[in-house]
This record gives sequence, C-alpha cells and structure tokens, in this order.
Amino acid sequence: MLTYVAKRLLMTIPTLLGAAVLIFFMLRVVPGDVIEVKLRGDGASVTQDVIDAERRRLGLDKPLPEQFTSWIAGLTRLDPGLSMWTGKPVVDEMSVRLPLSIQVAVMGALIATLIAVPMGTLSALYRDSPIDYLLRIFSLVGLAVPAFWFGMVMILLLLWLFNWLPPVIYTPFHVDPIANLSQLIWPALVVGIRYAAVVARMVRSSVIEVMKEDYIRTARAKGLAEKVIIIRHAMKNAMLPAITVIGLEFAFLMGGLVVTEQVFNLNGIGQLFVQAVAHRDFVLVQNIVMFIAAVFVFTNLAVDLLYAAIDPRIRYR
Amino acid sequence: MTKSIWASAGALALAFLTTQGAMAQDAKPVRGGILNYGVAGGPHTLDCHAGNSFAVTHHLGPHYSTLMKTDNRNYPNTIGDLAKSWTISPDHLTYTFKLHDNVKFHDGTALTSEDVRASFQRIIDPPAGVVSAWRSMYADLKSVEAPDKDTVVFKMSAPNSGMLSIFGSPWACIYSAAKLKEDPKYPEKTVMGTGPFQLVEHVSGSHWTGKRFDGYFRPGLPYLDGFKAIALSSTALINALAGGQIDAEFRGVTPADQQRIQASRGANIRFEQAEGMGLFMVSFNTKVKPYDDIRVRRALTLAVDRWGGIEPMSRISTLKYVSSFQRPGAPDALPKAQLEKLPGFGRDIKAARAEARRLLAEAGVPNLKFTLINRGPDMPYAPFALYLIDQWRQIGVTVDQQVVDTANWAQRRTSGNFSVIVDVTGDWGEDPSFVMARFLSSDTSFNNPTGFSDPKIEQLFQAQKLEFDPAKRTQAVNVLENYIVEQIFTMPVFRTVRLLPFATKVQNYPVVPVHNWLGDVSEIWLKP
Repeated sequence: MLTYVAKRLLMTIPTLLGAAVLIFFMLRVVPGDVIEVKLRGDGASVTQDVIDAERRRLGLDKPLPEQFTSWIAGLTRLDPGLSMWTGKPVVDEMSVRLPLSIQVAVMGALIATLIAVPMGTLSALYRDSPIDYLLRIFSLVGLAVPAFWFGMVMILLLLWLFNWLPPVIYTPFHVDPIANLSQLIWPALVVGIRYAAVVARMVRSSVIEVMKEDYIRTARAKGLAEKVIIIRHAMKNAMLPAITVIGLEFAFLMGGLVVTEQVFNLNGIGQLFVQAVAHRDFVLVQNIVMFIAAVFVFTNLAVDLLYAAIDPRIRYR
Repeated sequence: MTKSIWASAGALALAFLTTQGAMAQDAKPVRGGILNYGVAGGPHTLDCHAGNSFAVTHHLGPHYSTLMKTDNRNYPNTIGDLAKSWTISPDHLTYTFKLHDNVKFHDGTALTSEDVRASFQRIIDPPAGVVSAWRSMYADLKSVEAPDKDTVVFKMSAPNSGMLSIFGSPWACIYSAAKLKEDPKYPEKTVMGTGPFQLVEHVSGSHWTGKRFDGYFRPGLPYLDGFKAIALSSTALINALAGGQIDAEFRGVTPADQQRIQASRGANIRFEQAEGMGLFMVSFNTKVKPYDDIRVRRALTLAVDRWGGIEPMSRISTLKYVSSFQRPGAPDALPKAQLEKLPGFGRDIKAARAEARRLLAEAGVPNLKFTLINRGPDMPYAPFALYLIDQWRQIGVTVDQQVVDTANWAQRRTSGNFSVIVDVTGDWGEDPSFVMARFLSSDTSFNNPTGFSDPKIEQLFQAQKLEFDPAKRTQAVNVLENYIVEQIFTMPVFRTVRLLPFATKVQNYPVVPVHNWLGDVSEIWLKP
C-alpha cells in the first residue's frame, strides 16, 4: 500500500509539471499584459518609459524559458512569487480566499451527498415508478439549469420575498456561525443541488446494477430483511462509483466555483481566478491553476485510497 | 399600462426624493456613524503616485491630503487642501505655497514643507523601482524647494495656465519625507497620510475599513466615525444597493439599475447626477488605408446621428450627452452653436448622410467594410458600438464588431493593432491643458493611438497653455478643439452621466463630474 502511495505521489510530479508548462506558455500567447491594464486600462497618461520600467521590474522583459524556470524554482521553495496586479505575495492573496472556497465546496458536497444518495437509491428501488420519474426529472432539471441562473433567481427571490440579501463580507464560521452560514448556505445550495443531480444519477445506476448481483439474490434467499440487504449489502458496493463522482465533483468545486462566486459576490478562489485572468496577472493565474491541478491529483489519490477502505477486495501494490 | 404607471410614479418619487435630498444638505451635520459604500474593483496599488483608476482613489482618497484640491462645492475651481495660501509670480514661473501649520500624519508626526517637497520630487523624478504614473503631467515643473517648514516653492521651466489645477490632482498624495528617506517604496506597503481617516483593515478582494483620525487638521472633521469600502462585482453592487447592504456608490449606475434599486428601496434611496467625464469616441488608425484619407473619416463621423441617438441611448445606458472633447458644461467648452457646425454634430442628418455617401464614393470606397474593435463587456461599450454600426450601415458601410477584454483592448490601442477602435477618456480634471493633451499629435502624445501628426495642433495647444486671461484662454481652447475635431483622427460622440445612488441618510456629498476622484468624504454625515 505504501509503495502504491509513493508511486502515485511520484507520478504527480510529471503531471503537475505538464500542467505548469501548458498554463505558462498558453498564458503568454493571450494578447495584452498586466502593465497595459494597470497603467493604461483607464486611459491614463503613462509614458512608454514608465511602461518599460514596470515591465522590467516584473521580469516580463526576460526570455520565456528564464521566466518559467524562475517560477518553477520558486515553487520548489514553496515561494510562488508576487501577484503582478497587487504586488502582494500570491500565498497571501490565495490564503485569504481559500477558507471560503473550501467551506462552500465542503457544504456543497455534503448537501449533494445528503440529497443524492437517498434520492438515487429510491429511484433505483422504485425503478420505472412515479417516484423514479419524479426523481429523474429532478436530476435532469438539476443538470440542465445553469448554476449562475439558479443563483441569480435565488438572490432575486430572497430580495423579493424577504427584502433581504446574504451578507457581502465573509465571516469565518468560528467567529460568527450565523453570519457565516447566512452568507454561504445559498451558494452551497446552488452548487449542491447541481452536484446532487450528477451524483444521484450515478447512485441510481449503481444500485440498479448491484441489485441484480448474485449475492443480493443469495441474501434474499437467506431470508434477510430487504432493509438489511439494501443497507448492508447493496449500498456498500453501489457507493464505489458514486465516491469517484463525489470526489471529482469536489475537486471541480474547489476551482470551478467561478460563476457561483461571481453571482453571490464571494471572495473566493474562483473569483480571484477570473480577476487574475482579466488583469493578465500571469503569476497569480499560473499558481491558481497549479493549485487546482494539485487538488484534482490529490483528490483522485484520496478516492483511490478510500476504495480500498470500503472494498476489501481492492488491494494496491 | 401598469408598467408605465409605475414608471411615472417612480419618476415622481425620484424627483421628490432628490429634492428632499438636496434640502437635507442644508441641515445641521451630525457626528458619528459608519458609511458603507461599494467599489467595483480593488486597488491595484496602495501608492497614489502609481494609481490611475477610480478603484485606487475610492480606497486611498480618505487617507491622504493633497497640496491643492478641486472644490466640489464650486466645481471645477481649485482650492487649497494642505495649502493655506499661495502666490504666483507675474511671469507664472514660480508658485509659492504656505501650508497649514497644524497638520499631522497618522503616526503623530507633524507635516512640514519637506514632506510636500519630497512627495512631488518622487512624482517628477521617481527613484529606481518607483512607478510615477503622472510624471508627464508635471513636465513643466523644474524644481521643488522647501525654504522653511511652512513654505513650498515650485519653479517652472515654462508657464502652464493649468498648473494650479494640476497641483490638485487626486494622485499627488503627500507622503512622509522621513519615511520616504528610509524606503522610497513605503507607500506601496503602508497607508499613512494626513487625511481624515486612518486605515484599519484591508482584506484583499473583500473590504477596506477606515476610522476617524482625531488629529485631522480641519477642525470638527470628519463627521463620520469611519467607513467601509466593500469590493463588489458590478452585478453584486446593484444587488447590494437594492438590498440596502451599502449606502452609496461613487462611480455611477445606469438608468436601468436606478429603476431596479428605486423599486426595491423606495423612499430609502435617492439619486443625484452630474455630467460625467467618460467620453466615448472612435479612433481611426490614420496609418492604415483608407483611414489615411480624411474624406473617409469625415464620412464616418457625418453618418452618426448624435442628437437623434442620445435620447434612446440615455434610457438604456450611462451615455447621456452629445459631446466634443470638453464636457458641455465645462468652463472652456465649445458653445453649442459652434459645436453644431462641426462635422458630425449638425442637426440635419439627411444632408450629412448624403454628403457622407458622396465622400465615400469620391474616396473610392462606396461599400466600405471594416472591423470595429470594441472593449467589453462593460456598460456602455456594447450599446455604443451597436448604435455606431447601425448608423454606418445607413450610408452603406458594413461593420463587424470584435469585442475584446480590457487587456487586449489596451494592447491593441497602444500598439496600433486596429483600423477603427472604440476609444474612451475618463479624465480626473477639467483643465484643457490636461484634457486636450491626449489629442496632441501621435509623435508628441503617447496617448494618441491614431498615428496622426500635425504641428498646428501643438502650436494651438501651446497658445492656450500660455494664455492666462480666462476669456482669451477659452477662445484659444475653442480654436484648438475646433481644429482637432475637424481633423477627425478621433471622433467624439457621446458622454456619460454620473448617476450616484445614496441611502437617504447620507448627506453632504455634492456630485461632480469626475468619478476618478472620491471627493471630500470628511464632510459626509449620516442623518440619524
């Protein structure tokens, strides 16, 4: 098992390096740079010598391979550099936003799991019944409705019905749980419902598959209660593919809350990413992408390890 | 029908509330309270000298003083901020300022003339690694001296009739000379000025809070205990105003947003407005055929019905005025009768379009086709470009629109990678020496992207800059503006309105055209 984990961890190095090369060079072909936006975006009277000096200061005048190696060398020292837009350390810019993004992702995942597992199971057990049709419609709607639209409708409804909107400034849970939840429950619901739709479909098809297995028939033949068969025998096995989806969706949420964060004005990693792209803050974009890539890689690893914990037949070498 | 009744009721209520708001300005100020306002963007720097956008001044403004400032009660006059009095030598080459003697920095140290000298020196001759975004504006400044602790003397290399207002630039914050000596880049890291508020906290991307500075040199001010500037996306900002989460926004909203906010807040909100400084234009690359031919440029400006278009445009966007380079209400603006004689500003659009078609045929491009580079997706770029495209279609010109983001737009504009581009100015001040400087020939003005050069523009510009008699200067500015509009390398079209929302409790903020300057927050007070 340890060898397997070590191998997987080693494999992350070329994966992340590949992501680094891709993002670094792709960013450089996008027209415009941070200096233009910073000093000329609002049409200020900034002379070319000021632009050139600032470009030199940020190292944008250096050859691309030199810029790349300097960034990677910094990463190996756990120093991702300074934001080209604000001049603050990238670590500071990201760490301010990370708790919010993690909390929304965790809450979204919890809401999704709480909705999807019973929903998918019920749908499978009452296959082709009105309950199944109803739950399938729910999951299809969840998949079809874009998160930004759902978010906007939710905001408008809150304003219209209660003349109230969620707080616009993030308060950590340990400081004020009510203020924290009254801000984050809404985006968590928006992402959680879409996420639930994806997971519920997977749970449904897995449960249908598992319920056809021989060991389920054997359990029934032994006279076990249907509840015991479902919970103890069917669900444990049906959960394996669902865990993969839950894991991947969680990783997606960590970096993919771009639209939801915009709609709810959440100061998270997704919003930071959008701003960094608009500002052509190459250093910040590179590091956010690397962070998201790392989250994906490590979430996958965690999912694989969880497989082994749930299914004793799976052993990694 | 119901909609129109509501709209009329809303308009009446709006008129009533605006009047109420204006009346309340005369009430006795009350001390205390926190002002929560929204800002659509975070500051890219903490150093005023390197800043150039509203997002910088709307955060830093309350913490700093400047030598002079624009008088928002008697706009656009310039009055002293740190300067108690000043004299100008007869040859206009020496400006001597006497400073208030009770000014303190937030760290408790007293301000002296050395602080003013060191701050201006940093702007005109920045040390290595320091960005001075406004250096070119002070090109006529030769030296700054501090002969005694209360006196600052500025020596000019050439007279400049706009210099006093340039001394009032909101970007010319006064820093501590002692701290600059230790580290010339300290303003990038620390916010420490002599302004009415001290910085309490800045959470990147979230909020910025300030508290009253009890040592502020103007007695009894500020009225507020503090303020909180909340970073919000454009959409979230409107929601926050509608939901009552913020009390004000100082850049401006659209008429459609106004209706939405008003419908939600009713009597708890009022709106005030002024002509804005955002001028929407079209620039031609005169190095590219056929835009090197003035007949083509003339045809394209003649085709645009400015007077017919502005009314519908003002209903859906922030564009509200037909305007040349100077704001219509500016002291040196072209008189309306004179403006209407300029190409594209006439009232007879039928005749103008017939002339436009004739000019295109004569230039050999009767079926002209081009790509218009537009900056998106912010308001009002999209409706502005769509209106232009429709106007040009009416003289047989086919236009494709290419919408690019700000970074791409800025890069294309400065590198000349365009044929026709939507252009914009958003100046911080009104003085013609500042406003007209960007329309100097391309080989003189790095901010003129059109490649157009004509020495006569420089001559006319210098003539107005050296004229100190106000009436004669207005005449000289009018001649300059007339000439530039006639050359049509950049065609001015519409100007924005600055429409500001205030919770009814917010008092004493006169709205002026400039959105790049926050104004005097120290005088704002909240009605209990």
